[in-house]
Amino acid sequence: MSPNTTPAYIRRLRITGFVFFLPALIYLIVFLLGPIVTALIFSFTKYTILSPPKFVGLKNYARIFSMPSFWHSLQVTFIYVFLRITVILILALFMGLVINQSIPFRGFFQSVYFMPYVFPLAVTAVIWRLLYRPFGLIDQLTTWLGIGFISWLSSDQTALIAITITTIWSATGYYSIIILTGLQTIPKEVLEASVIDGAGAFRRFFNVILPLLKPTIFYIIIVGTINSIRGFPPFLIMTGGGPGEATRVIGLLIYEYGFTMLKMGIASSMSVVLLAIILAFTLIQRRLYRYEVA
Amino acid sequence: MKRMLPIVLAVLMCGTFLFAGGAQEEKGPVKLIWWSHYGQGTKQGDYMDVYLKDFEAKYPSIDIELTRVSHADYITKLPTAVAAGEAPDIYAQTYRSIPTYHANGMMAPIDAVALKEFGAGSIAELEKQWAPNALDAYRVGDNRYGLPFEFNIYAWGINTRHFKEAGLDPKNDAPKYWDDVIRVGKKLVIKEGGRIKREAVTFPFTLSAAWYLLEFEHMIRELDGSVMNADQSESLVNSEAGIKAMQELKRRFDEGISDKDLSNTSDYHVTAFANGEFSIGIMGNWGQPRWYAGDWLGINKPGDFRGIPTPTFPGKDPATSTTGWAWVVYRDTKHKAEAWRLANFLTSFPSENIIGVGNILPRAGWSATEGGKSIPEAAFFEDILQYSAPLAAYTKYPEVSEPVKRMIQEVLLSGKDIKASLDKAKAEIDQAIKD
Repeated sequence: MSPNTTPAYIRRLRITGFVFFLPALIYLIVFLLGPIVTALIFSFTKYTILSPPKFVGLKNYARIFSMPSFWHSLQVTFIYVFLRITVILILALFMGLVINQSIPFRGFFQSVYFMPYVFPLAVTAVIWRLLYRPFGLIDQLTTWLGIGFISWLSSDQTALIAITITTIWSATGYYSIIILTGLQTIPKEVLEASVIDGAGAFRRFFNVILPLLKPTIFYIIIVGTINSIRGFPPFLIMTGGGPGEATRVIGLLIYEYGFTMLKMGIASSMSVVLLAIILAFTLIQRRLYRYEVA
Repeated sequence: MKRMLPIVLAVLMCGTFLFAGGAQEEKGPVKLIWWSHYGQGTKQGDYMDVYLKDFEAKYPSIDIELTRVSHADYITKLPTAVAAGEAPDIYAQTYRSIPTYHANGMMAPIDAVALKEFGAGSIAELEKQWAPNALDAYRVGDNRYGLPFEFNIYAWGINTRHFKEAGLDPKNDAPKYWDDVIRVGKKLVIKEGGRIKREAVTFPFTLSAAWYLLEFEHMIRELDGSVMNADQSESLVNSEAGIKAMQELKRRFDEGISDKDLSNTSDYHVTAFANGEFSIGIMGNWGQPRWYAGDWLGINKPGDFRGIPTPTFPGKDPATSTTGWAWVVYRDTKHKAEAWRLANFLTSFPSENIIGVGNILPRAGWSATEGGKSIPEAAFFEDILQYSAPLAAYTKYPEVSEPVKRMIQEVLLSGKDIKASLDKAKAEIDQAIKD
């Protein structure tokens, strides 16, 4: 059927569909595509916000690739993302499995696990900074356990771990609910069949549940990675990137160059590189996932 | 005729708008956009309303639109507004950003129009209206760009209660040299199970880079060094003075009178001092009025605090720093005369400003006013001005201050080698100022 002969009601439906789709499209263009394109353009300029940008070609990229602090920030970011996502996955899986059982107070546990996610991350960061203080709650706990005081935020050996613990505490409940949703999509017949076939709990988890949870796990890895890279406020609040550069993640470095030094060109080029890394990571994940499914 | 009616109505409507706009441009009140870095709900921010109402009452042909942005957001929102073509006509500017805003042509110089509003025939006459050198921090070349409304003087201070509790005389035992800080600090520090429970001296790790420089730059200046060379083209941070300053800063931790974990998690340097969490530290003249008016645990009545000059090295003068903010006028404002008139008005009440806002407004004779006399130890702060210089007056402040801050953290918190950290900071600064 040629477009000219499309019935009127189909055309109306298409228009209605487009009208419903329009707000999302505008949002994507204004708040996602627009800033990405703008950042890409600015990355080829010298731009201080206060005066018009000047084209400098690839100079900003040459500058950031020769910058030790840029590579260091990337390294800190990757360590943080890897640690955070790994621990979150393990804990969220465990918590999801627990609240998927018919246990007493199941709804209560669900709410409690989810609660930290409701707190604004800035508030969480302030609370945890107090918890890490000498003579604070965590100090008393580690002293009681015989470990003694740990210099959580003041040592370059532990500061990143301290912030990672904070953000894991904040987000695990949320991801456990996603795992729970994934668990509930597993057909009961499959689980029952595995029981009839004599699979124990251990084997059932690794051979039935885990493979069927792969789409959920891939989703968590991708979304969790992107959120981890973007979420620099706890770093700003808890350590400001210190001690020295120990917790200076890439988001913080971009913020410093963009808003503290007003070097938008350099900040934009860092953002573009970061975007490329996230895109590459997402594509690899998708490839791996498709390969696994195939 | 019916077909013509909408066209006629549309033409009439456009005409109405056009003429209305024209009338507003010529006869309506002038609208001034004014930005302050004092946030809404703060004592300073709320007091701006008093100025606003008084000014509008005095000049009914001028309407003011005041935007109060908290200090933390101000550094990002102001340039963003400028970039969006929505720069305020008059805005608060720290002396540290004057070089950047001047380089980008964002400020109008004090010219004949401004001088007329100030009732001064020349710059020399204008300077006579102000405390000596008060306008210098807002000068680039031969031009001045702002009228200061906040002037802070930083020295050191002691908690006299702690001194008395430790059997020390707050007057005679107050540290004069850095060696004294260690000696007195050992009597003031409180330990529990071998761990420091209350520091004698702290370090403002949780504050901005400016606070790091209040410690580090003071020492470097006392040692006749500087963080940057004269034309600000190269950092001298890794000089002998820099090394010695870092060794001295590190000593307070090595000698057990400061604790890096307490310092690095103290919620706010000045709040912690007011609550008696440490005994000696850097303080601004604005501290005491706030502490005495508050319900703090450590300092809450006159006499609990005593200002002292920054400790120094034998044979050297103590260093003191000043910081400040000024009202500046946007270069392309359509209402330059009115904007300068507002700036002049806002800086015409030094006494009321000290009482209402809590900040020194450095007009000539400010200290002799009723407000000036209400500042505890005003004479002390005025006296130490002889040793003062604007803090961290670098043409590229963040490019210098942030690497210095990281270097200090590396040495004091992570225990890195002083020379290596200073060399790294110098390399970072030299590269950053070239970008």
